[in-house]
Amino acid sequence: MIKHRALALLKAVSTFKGGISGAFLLLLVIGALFAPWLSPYPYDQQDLGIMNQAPSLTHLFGTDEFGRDVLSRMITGARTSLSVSVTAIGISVLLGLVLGATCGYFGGTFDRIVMTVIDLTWSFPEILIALMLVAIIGPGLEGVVIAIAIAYLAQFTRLTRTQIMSLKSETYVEATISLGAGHAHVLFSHLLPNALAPVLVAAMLATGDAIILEATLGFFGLGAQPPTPSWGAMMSSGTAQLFIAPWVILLPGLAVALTVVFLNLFGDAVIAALDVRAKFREA
Amino acid sequence: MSDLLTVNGLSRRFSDGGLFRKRKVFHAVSDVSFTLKRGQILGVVGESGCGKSTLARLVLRLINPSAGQVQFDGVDMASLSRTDMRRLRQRMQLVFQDPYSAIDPRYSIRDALLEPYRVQGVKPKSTDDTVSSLLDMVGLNGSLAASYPHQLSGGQKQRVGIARALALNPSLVVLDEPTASLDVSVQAQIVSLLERLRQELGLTYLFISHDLGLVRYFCDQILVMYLGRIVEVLPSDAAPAHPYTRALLDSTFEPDPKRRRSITRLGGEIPSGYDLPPGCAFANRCPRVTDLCRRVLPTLTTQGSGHQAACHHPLAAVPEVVEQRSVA
Amino acid sequence: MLLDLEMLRIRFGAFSPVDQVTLSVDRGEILGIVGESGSGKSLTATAIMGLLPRIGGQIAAGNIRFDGTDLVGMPERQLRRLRGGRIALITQNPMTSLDSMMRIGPQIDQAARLHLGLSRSAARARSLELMADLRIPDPASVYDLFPHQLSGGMKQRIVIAMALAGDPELLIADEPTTALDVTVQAQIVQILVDLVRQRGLGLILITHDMGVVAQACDRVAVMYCGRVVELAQVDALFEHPRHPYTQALIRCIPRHDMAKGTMSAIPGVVPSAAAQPPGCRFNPRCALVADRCRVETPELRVGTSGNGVACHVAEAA
Repeated sequence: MIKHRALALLKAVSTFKGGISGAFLLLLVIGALFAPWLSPYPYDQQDLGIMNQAPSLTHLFGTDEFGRDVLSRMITGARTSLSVSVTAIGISVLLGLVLGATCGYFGGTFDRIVMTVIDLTWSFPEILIALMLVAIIGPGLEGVVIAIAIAYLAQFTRLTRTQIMSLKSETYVEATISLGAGHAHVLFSHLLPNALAPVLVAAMLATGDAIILEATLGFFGLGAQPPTPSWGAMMSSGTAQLFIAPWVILLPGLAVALTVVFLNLFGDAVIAALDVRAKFREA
Repeated sequence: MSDLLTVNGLSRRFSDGGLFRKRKVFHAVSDVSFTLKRGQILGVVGESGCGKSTLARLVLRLINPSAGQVQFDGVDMASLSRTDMRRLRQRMQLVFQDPYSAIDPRYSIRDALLEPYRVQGVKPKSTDDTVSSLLDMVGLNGSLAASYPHQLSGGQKQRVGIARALALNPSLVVLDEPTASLDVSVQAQIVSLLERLRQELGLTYLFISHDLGLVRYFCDQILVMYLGRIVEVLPSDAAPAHPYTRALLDSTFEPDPKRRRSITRLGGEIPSGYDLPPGCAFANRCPRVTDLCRRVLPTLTTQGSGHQAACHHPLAAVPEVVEQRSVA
Repeated sequence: MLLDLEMLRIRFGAFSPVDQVTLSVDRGEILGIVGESGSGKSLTATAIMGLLPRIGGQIAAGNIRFDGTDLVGMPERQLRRLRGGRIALITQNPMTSLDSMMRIGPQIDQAARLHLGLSRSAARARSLELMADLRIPDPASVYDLFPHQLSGGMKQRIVIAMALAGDPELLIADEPTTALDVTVQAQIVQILVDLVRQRGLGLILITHDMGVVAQACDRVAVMYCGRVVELAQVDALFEHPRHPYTQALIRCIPRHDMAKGTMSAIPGVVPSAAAQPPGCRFNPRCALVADRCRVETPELRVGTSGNGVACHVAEAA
């Protein structure tokens, strides 16, 4: 099974779209992982003598209002943005799988209660839910992670539930039950593995949204607290110098945009590659 | 021969609608009783919607009956706990109509064949030997073990389905239209395989099919179902007494141009299982219908040895008459 | 002859799933094309309808003469005039042949209005008449129903009515009864037979069911792996099948008078289009295979009787 999934990934990367976006994302992850070694200056090193300098050879992306190196702050900010959104979506997917599978498989009253709550949260924009939650939990990265995780829970729960419900009526599921299999075997050996692929692709696409959401919360000052950089917080502090030092706000903005675009492109490539079974059926 | 399976007054209703619409009740299977002796092949034949597939699942308790009971080897299945029922499943297996979807597409053939053991918590001595002997038993090459379902033909997949069903040495195998989605030459291969396996392993079959010709060839005894009820029970070589069975037989074309049938057209449509008429369900299409049929539900009455029909006006036991060349 | 196929070869990329197909059907005649999946019987029908390009295929060689005119290479505009008009197709699945959003009646009217140039009311009258001919009870009320309100057998009758609406001379029925219950199948076969006898249509009945062939056809073409292996009058075919494949196919059919355990199967599987054996395509599964069969492809030789077989062994006998 793992073989199949690795194969799909390989196939996705071998396409033009998948290759380019995969390379960008890989670079981003490496940058985030090795931020302390890769950034040219410490991200919090202030030098008021070189405030708001335009990009130059010494400071490739220029400096901000405290004379801090924007490139270094962006690399470290990638760390915050990526870890927050990936962790949040990870938690969301896990919870969504558990809730969705339970609801889809067993149905009944539990399903009805959970789905009513889920639908209620779905009728609010994610940003509103996240803002409310951060307001309750208090600002800081943990709050942002929890807020994003809950904001996206509805999507993954619904998707998993629909998948499980349609897979439940497959003949091979009945075949397994007629062999004498219990619920656990049916769920973990047949339903979840078959439901996983679309959920994972959705997760990849949602990570892009989550990066925007994290940046937005950061922009409002609700995410990472200074001096820890995040793309959103950088843009927020950059607004004051918008006309003096536009790179301070534009470059992190560009980073957010590119990351989201490439995540979506990569998601597309994976979707195309995962359709192997459909292709075999044609042959 | 002892009875392996005793089915008594088995019924299953499905209800529909609810909050805003009038609740409708669909009678999928009504008051079905029969016994299946060890080593026998019992055929269940009928057209779509007659309840034959539901009956198969009721017998295996994959769905619960609304009424009636099923005894397997003397044990009433309703009395069993969940765990005991799961354990009993080893002894009764199901082979599906559609071999294309009966195997998880993510499972290799090897994994699919080992799943029965995994599910029942039985460890085969050597997994490789088990897989290859199962494949060998159904006439497949051992090299197929590493393949995935989509790489196999329909016939090969159905063989895997049979091997999987036989992995745990069951006594009863329910075959739900096992050849309906296969070509005739492949059907013949599967039927021959089933015949051989029955002899070698002493299996008992409940064979569900819409093909009366196939059932008459393959089975010892036949149940004919119409709209959820048994209308006739007959030995496979007996002439039918129920007009519906007669019509079914007349609609089955013999592969012989000298025996062309004049098609006795059945009037009317099959009524829906929602609003069953009070009398005989076949009354609106029956050429022998009388007022009695519309009012009173006929019960199964003996027509001969091992032969019962639920009909107020059964056909006399006459040899089969075939009008020759009446079509051309 | 109404329709004459001569050495037809259909190509899809590198493969020729249908090759050297020669057969014909006359007015008032029912030709059965029988074969299992992969035999190319449906592709042959698609070729006659001129619909191969739609599924990515093409005619690589041979002729399709309809009433004396070769359809191969005929411009699409002219083909379109024939299709649904003088040549009509009935497909296997009545559920997908009908537009679920459109009432029954207008769907039947279409062909008559298009090909016969009838007015709306004349087409309606004609459709009602056709429906009555096909023994559809209460045509006037069925006319206004939607497809989902009809049973499978009734839908298939509507599909037949649609095919007849353009007043065809040739009807091609591709597995018209496969999706239906046996009692309904019997009715539909009877209707098709009656149509041919009463209207003098030519009918090509494509089926995998030897019972249907025996019941309805006058002549039969048996196809295997894209080739016609035997062409014969129906009585001759069942009484003295000459090709080993035909013989084996007939023995595969369960009959109640067969002793239990005597059904014989054809060993092996139908080879895929990419893995056709050299020589006779049936040779790996044939009980009578000779050395010659493995190298030399037997040709279908049709005698004056109209019967023929493509088999080295049968010809030598």
